[in-house]
Amino acid sequence: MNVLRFELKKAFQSPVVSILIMLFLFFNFWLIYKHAGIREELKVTNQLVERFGYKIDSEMSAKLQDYYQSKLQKMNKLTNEKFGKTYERAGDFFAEYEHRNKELSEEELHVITETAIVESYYELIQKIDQTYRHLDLSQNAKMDIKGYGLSGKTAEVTREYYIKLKNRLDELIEAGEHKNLFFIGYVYHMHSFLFKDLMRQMIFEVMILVVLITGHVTTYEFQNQTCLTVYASKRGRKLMLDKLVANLFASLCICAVILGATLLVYFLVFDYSGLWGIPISSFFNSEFSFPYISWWKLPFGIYLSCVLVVFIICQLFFTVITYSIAVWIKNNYLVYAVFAILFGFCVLIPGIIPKNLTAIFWTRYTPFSLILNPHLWFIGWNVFTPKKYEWTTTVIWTCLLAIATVVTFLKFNKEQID
Amino acid sequence: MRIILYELKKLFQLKMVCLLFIISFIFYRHFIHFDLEHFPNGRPALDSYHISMEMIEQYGYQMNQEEFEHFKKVYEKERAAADAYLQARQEYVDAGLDTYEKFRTADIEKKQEIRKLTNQIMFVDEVDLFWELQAREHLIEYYEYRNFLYSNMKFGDLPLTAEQKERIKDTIASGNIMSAEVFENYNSLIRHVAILIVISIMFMISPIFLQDRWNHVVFLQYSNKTGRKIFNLKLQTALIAAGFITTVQLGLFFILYRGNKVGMFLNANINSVFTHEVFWFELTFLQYILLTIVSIYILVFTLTIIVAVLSNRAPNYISVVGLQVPLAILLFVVVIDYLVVRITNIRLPIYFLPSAYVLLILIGSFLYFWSVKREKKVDLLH
Repeated sequence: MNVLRFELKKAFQSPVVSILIMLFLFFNFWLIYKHAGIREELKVTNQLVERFGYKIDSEMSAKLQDYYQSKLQKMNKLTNEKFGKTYERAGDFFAEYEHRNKELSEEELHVITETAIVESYYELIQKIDQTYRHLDLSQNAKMDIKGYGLSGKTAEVTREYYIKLKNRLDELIEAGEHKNLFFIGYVYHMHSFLFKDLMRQMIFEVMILVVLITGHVTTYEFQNQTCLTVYASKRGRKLMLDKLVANLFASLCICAVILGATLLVYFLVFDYSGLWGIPISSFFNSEFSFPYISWWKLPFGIYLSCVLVVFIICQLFFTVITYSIAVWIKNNYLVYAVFAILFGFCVLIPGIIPKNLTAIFWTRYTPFSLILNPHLWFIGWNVFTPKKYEWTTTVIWTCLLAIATVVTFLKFNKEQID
Repeated sequence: MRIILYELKKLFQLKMVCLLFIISFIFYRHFIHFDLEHFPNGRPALDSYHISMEMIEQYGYQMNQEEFEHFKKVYEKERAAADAYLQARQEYVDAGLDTYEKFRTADIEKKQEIRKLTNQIMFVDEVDLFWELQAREHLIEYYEYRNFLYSNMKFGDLPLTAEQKERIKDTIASGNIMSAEVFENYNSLIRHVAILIVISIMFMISPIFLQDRWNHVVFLQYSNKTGRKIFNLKLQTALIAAGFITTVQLGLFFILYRGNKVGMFLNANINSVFTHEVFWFELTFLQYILLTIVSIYILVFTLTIIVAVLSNRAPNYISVVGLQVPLAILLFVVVIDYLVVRITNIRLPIYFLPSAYVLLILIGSFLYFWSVKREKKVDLLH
């Protein structure tokens, strides 16, 4: 236990680690702060969910309509008093917003904004069925084939992929999974913000820290020329095993600090109360004309947890990859360079393979490709996000890295240290 | 001199050079290759590029009102050709697309058949005439709405100053012809090349002092005849190495860039209504390219001194790499965009660029002399 503690001390004693953690947290908070302007408007969603529940059916729709009408009336009374004018839609007011906003108090403006948001919900709900009826996945298949220049076998795979996605979509529509309230994706882009901007930024931040620490701890004895003493001691070469455990533990700590602090602030700023059970495939979560379709029914809370699990697993992969490189190279400066090269190389390969080989699909099963699009994890988006992509990658790389680690150990145990 | 040569040998070890080569190659494939391979990128960019060349051939580097009328006439003529093309095809006449006007304004969102017909011309047959017309329309629009530059050149909400207005007025009056595609393409390329050079310098220079300290060579170095002067020599080595790496990278880049065929635009003035950019000085494209090269060199030399000093002060590799992470983020996200790409743009005050570079050079020289002086007396057992 003592050895482990000392190894961990090596990981965290360098002031640069804490400096970087502080800096990265500052970046994350800054990103959240820049986005925080919409938090008041988002609260309308929470209120609606509290009042009507998030399940959309005819009964709820009717109730919402009544609520909307009463809101609109209230608003029109206000505008009538102020400007002698009434509106058919709250949105119309904002068409001439420029001229009017100065004459209204904050509260009055809030009433109108709120009405406009409720109105958007009401109007979008009417459009749901139509939108999903018009989704033509064979068109998506064609677009993917043309857009990525696929042909032959890969085009075949693309068509099959969209048939599978179509089945899932039908199932989803049958179950009414899309008919749920959520923050309006078209307007607020909360899914992209949380899972793309923020999550990807965190992935890279944690990766930098994890690689720096792992390279440092693993090569520490060689860099400080204590290797002759340490590896000749009773603990001997088993120390490398302690280093691995310490590295994994340090990585978990870094994940916990960065993720914990950032997400804590995120959920303090943006109120998700009442929304944790809403499926991620909800119509309102979609941000483009093509909705997010998760491969399984995943409520927001569970989706977030799954993403975090994949996040942490990927970071552990990076730890083990760096560790294996470090045992072989023994110079942490070169370890960092080799890791960067490996990263670039793995992301590069799928792009340079001829487009008619199925290799363009399976070469993407690497943690390096995986982390590039965290907002599409578990979601059927295009042909490169197949069902079980995340889990398959995880399983394959767990096996690969287990083998790599064993080989590394065997090699290190018999190696001449000089 | 001999010491500098030995030090250079130490910096350019075979494995480091190999790794640098691989890093450069991967970076090139990810970020630079595309702009070289796919220039001009798609249509109507390709057509605008061709038409800009044609304009320079016909009108010279400036276009006056008379020549613009001629340009419009060519457009009208091509339009008539497009009308004829449509009228010659029964299915288009049947669908009510018998003139180019109707073809352009057709509501493709609502009607499937019309979308199919327009797609057939634009994307399946890729009829040059129609793409060219579109490109010409854009160019005519830019010229006709050239006063739009006044709002385009604002920096945030700040009102334009008298000098800025003067420059915009001059630009509009000049009628300079420059291709926006060429200019944007170069900016995107030089931005990434600058990033690649920064990465290369950081990678190669970082170990310069740290390596010696880890090997305890520094005790030998400082106690022999050359003594602590070696610190100064090594800094000079770093600068020479950085200059060499930058020159090689830039040289290779410009050899590749020749494939983009921008020769005709080198003498064109970049202050143009067609590029939507106005600069403080009457620069030709070639002068602008030279200016970006000079700025990259100044940036690189300052960076080299910072990295070398960091390498001298940092206790281990994790620190030297870790401390360069914020530096790299600062350079990639802010500095390169302001000090290399689109420099002398009037969105920033005229004195911004000179003062920024004076500041950079001052930081560099101060660090240089301070560290040399400090090293003369430093306690080696720190």
